[in-house]
Amino acid sequence: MFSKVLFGRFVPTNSLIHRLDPRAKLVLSLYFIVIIFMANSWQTYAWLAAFTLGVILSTKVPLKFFWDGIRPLVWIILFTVILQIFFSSGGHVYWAWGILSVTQFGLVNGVYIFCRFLLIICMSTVLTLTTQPLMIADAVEALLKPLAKLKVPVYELALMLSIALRFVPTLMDESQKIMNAQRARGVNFGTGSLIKRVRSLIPILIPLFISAFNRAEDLATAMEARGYSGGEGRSKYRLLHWHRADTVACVVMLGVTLILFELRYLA
Amino acid sequence: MALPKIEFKQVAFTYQPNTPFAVKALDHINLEIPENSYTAIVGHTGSGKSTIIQLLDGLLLPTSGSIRVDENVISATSSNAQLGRIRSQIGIVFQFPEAQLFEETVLKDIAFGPQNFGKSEEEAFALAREAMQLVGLDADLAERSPFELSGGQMRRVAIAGVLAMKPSILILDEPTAGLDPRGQRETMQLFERLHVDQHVTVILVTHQMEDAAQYADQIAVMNGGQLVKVAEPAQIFANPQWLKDNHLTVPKTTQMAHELERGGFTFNPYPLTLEQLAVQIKRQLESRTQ
Repeated sequence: MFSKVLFGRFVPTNSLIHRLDPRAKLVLSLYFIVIIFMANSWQTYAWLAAFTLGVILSTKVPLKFFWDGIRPLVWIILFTVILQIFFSSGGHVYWAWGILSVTQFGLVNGVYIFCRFLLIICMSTVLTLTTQPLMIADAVEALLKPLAKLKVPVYELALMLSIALRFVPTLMDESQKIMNAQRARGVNFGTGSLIKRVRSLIPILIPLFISAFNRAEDLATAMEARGYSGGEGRSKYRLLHWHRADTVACVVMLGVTLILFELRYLA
Repeated sequence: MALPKIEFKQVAFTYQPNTPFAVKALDHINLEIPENSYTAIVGHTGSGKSTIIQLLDGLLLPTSGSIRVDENVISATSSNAQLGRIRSQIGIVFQFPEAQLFEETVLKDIAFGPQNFGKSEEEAFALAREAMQLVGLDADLAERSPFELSGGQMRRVAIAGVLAMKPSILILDEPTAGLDPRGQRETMQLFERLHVDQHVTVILVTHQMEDAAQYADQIAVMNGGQLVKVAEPAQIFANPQWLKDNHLTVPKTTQMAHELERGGFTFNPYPLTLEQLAVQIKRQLESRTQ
């Protein structure tokens, strides 16, 4: 059902980007999202778009496949943009009807917001496309570590995150199986009135919850049986290593920022 | 001769086509399943068995080729209405079917299928009670919650939920997995009764070669998304090396027969059940002592 959406999926093409440290990728992606908001003209957006395209190309994921994967999300952005266009005011008015109007500022803003969302989605897709979910969880843990001094349960949070991520495919599988069983018993998803559609979810959600709880209990038992007793003094199986490539990536991002500011103040 | 009940024509299926994740699960499948037959589909894990049954019920649509079930055809462009007609005739007992239970009471859960296929509440409840009896569930369990029952009973409720739809084709995906030996025997005998008494066409997907040998009248062997061979059980199990090449085990009785052959016995046809084996051994021992 969701097989086309690429966001949140890992594609093992083993590119340069794949081999970067997950901490670097996570921080740099967040940083990139912040600097997207610094863009304020078509030159700056063009620069960021060119950089994003370069990053996408360097992941070795086929461009068409990438585009197919984010296209469903583009419709959601377009919807937001259309609202933005109709409800903002300022500048030359091209068209007006009641509280709806299309103005110059509205249009320009709409285009900028579209670019912003698109770039954010592209970059976060690159992150999840090139980083295994568990590596992202490790990166989050490593980055939150300083908070442990403030008595934040960092280890528990990270464990919850990695268990949650670990069980996403399992639960997807499970829901597909349950859906098949109920479809074989004559449930027709996605047809009929809205109420009928919502009701047709009950035969999936109840078995799914029951199996999720059973799984959670089994997992807890299995962990206790193997002597799990919290994060205190536990060593790690997967260690994160900072390589020269990671430093280079940071420097590249710094360069991108400098050029961005250059373009911003030049215009 | 009448047309076979089910016919696969050049069926191929690829998961997530046109992406880097594309996996070819089935290729060039041609298979005929006659009416009232008992077909076993066997094969190694990942050989495409469960893809075949999902295609047969229109849960997946073939990437190319077509499947005919009676007069309805499933192809890449089948409509929901067509698929609905096919699904109303086919009952599937999935692996660990108790995972599909969700209703407040046993009776309501069993009546869920018939109601979806257009039966009124009374009709559906009547069918549900009938199905409960068929699978050997006590009538006073009807108003209990299915989640209070034991694992074996939940399995029966789930099977009853499939049988209540009165399918003319019954697909069984490892129906005895996780049951104790007695439960396994009882479940397989229940399906055998349906096959014999009510002329239900049965398709059994299994790893248990004993079951395939004992119940099926034709066995389809899958390997790596291809249908390697369709033949009678005695033919399939005659060649141990071929079975090994296709990652299959030999039923214990047949294995015993193979061992005995080295000691001078001959078997023709190969025994598939314990009884057949015993009869043949007895006959040969008697002719030796004479």
